Amino acid sequence: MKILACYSFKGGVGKTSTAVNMAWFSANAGYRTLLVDLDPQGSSTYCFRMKSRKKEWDKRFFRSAKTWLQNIKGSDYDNLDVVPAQLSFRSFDIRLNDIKKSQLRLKKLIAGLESHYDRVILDCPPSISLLSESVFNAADMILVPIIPNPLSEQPLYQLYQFFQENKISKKKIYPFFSMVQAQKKVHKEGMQRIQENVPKMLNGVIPMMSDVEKMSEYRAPIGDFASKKPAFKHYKGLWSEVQKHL
Amino acid sequence: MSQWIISTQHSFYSQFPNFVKKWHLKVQSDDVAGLLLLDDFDNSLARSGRLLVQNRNTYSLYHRDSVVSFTHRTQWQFVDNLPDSDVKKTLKKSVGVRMVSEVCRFTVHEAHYSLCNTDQKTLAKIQVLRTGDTRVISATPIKGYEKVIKKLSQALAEMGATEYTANPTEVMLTLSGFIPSEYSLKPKFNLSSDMTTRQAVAKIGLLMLQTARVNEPGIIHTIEDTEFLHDYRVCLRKVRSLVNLLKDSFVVEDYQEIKQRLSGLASNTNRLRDLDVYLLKKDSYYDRLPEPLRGGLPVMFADFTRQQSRCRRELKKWFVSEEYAQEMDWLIQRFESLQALPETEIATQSIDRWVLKKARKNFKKIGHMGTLITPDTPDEDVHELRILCKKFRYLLDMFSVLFDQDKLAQFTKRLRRLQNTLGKFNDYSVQQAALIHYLESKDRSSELATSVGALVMMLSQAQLAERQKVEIRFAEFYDAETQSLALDLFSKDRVL
Repeated sequence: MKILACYSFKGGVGKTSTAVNMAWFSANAGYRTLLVDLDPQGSSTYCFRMKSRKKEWDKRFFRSAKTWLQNIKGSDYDNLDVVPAQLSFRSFDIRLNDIKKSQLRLKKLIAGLESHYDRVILDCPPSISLLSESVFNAADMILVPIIPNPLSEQPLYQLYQFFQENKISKKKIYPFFSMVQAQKKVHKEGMQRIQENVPKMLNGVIPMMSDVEKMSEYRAPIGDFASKKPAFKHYKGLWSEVQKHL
Repeated sequence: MSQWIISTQHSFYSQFPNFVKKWHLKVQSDDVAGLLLLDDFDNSLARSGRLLVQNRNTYSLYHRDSVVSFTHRTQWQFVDNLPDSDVKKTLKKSVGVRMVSEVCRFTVHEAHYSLCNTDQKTLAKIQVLRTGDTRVISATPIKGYEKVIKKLSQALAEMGATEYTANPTEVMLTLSGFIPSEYSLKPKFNLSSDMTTRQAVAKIGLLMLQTARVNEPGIIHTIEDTEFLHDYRVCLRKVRSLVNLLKDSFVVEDYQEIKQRLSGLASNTNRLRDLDVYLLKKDSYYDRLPEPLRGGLPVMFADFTRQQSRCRRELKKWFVSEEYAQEMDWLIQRFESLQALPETEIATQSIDRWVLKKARKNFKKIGHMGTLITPDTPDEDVHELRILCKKFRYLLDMFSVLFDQDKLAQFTKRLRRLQNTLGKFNDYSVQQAALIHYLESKDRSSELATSVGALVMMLSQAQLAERQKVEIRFAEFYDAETQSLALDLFSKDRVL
């Protein structure tokens, strides 16, 4: 089993789109895939036409894999299940604070799903917190979407710094350019600058495209409604790279 | 998965909104397939709980919950025509050498739906299989949405559906509407212990003759399926054995004539059956010889195939002839009119007492004869033991209903083991004689003579090996356990 986290310190960079599409490609490749929507906003959950459970279960979230299994819902796609988010997930840091070695908790929990899933994809909320630290320790690979402008660039460097300070392997971090508008000068320059500063950038680039935005309208991954469109090819390219590194 | 069955003229899809609020069906696929159900004449597949369904070039073998599919592009009638595979092995086990053909033709409409909520989220996957007005609906909930089944079940109940716990094989059988044939080479005679021997003879004889007749169309139209002739001959043999066993039920002249006419009917088919057996066992003949000695075998089998074709043509003519019909009618009429014959002492005896007496006598005689067999005993005596065992088996088979079934099964299993060795011993002997006869009738090329000669030698060795087993097999059969079983089964004091 491999764990892929989609993370960004900054919001609105295409993190959920990435998580949803990577989950779809993974399931489509035949991997038994679980997408865990850790973001209380529940955008991934929404994309799969699911509703949050009415009964709050954040208190039991870090208890055992069995609790997760009871809350998992099947998507409309073969091999793809989801742990839907709920607003109570905003209290995760409080919950983790009460747990010993909280930074390793998520890793241990996911290990309990080994016999059920081949790939676990974590859609993370945009913050650096106890939960993020737990995610960083659990993940085999952390996909970080970067809009090539200075506002997105800075949080990436902060992330590297955080990994260094907390002695987490920086090799796990795989940034890639997201929501790129190649015609914009600021993006062109940003891409060049970031590539010079960050040696391990993925080659996959996701341009700013209307089909990606339509995911929230159709409430479905790109592969479901735009498999012949450029957006699909870009995500497919990204998935190929991810698969190679996982 | 949950399943329901409903018989209605109305479409499931169009009726659904009338019964279920807030949910709707999204059509995923809707196909129609013309299917053929394949089986042999005995319906061996259906009887072993299997169904072979053909959809163009695709064949699906259903057994309980499993469905194994394979494709085959050319027409085939015998399992041996299929390439080697596990499915072939399974089919071969049930069907053997019988011809496989269409036994039923039906059309299945197969629709797949997603059951969705107002967010268009799929809650369950639904499959509807329909033939005529019969619909089998199955629903598999998506993980985390198991509760939908309860609501769906209520809605379906309102539509008139009932829950249906059936595996895919049973579902397919229901949809096909196929009812397996009741044909059996061992029909139930429904004998009762208070019947007289004559009543029993009449009942068994008639039923066996009727069973023989069931095979006539097969012999005439699909003689390539060698088992029609085989079954036909077994039926006649059983009637002959019955007549011999209970000859006192007949008037002497009748007995002689019945015997004669039955022999006549059977002997007309002897040559073809011999050829059928040689050709069915062709591979085993090849296996018996080392490669360099096989050169003459193709010539011999080509001869056999030619002779088989000729015999088949002649036999078909015989079976459709007026003369044949008259022979059969005469025999049937004789068995029908048995009741009208004057009473004799044996004919009016109760059948159970008579069968027990006969069985005791047979068992004793087999014991006596078998115990005397040594390595020096002449082959003729071994053949005699074989014939005695065969008659005994027929007696037990025909009157099986009069015995404790479990004990009889144990007893016949032991007897069968002995019979197998005796049977092989005889077969090898007959085959050697036939091959020598064949060679004598031919212009003997050296290659043919070498192969046939080598084959005779190999068969002679095989016969010798079986001969050496006879004493051991007999000792195994006639041990304390068999004797105790025989005592329980055939004792005079047995409570019937």
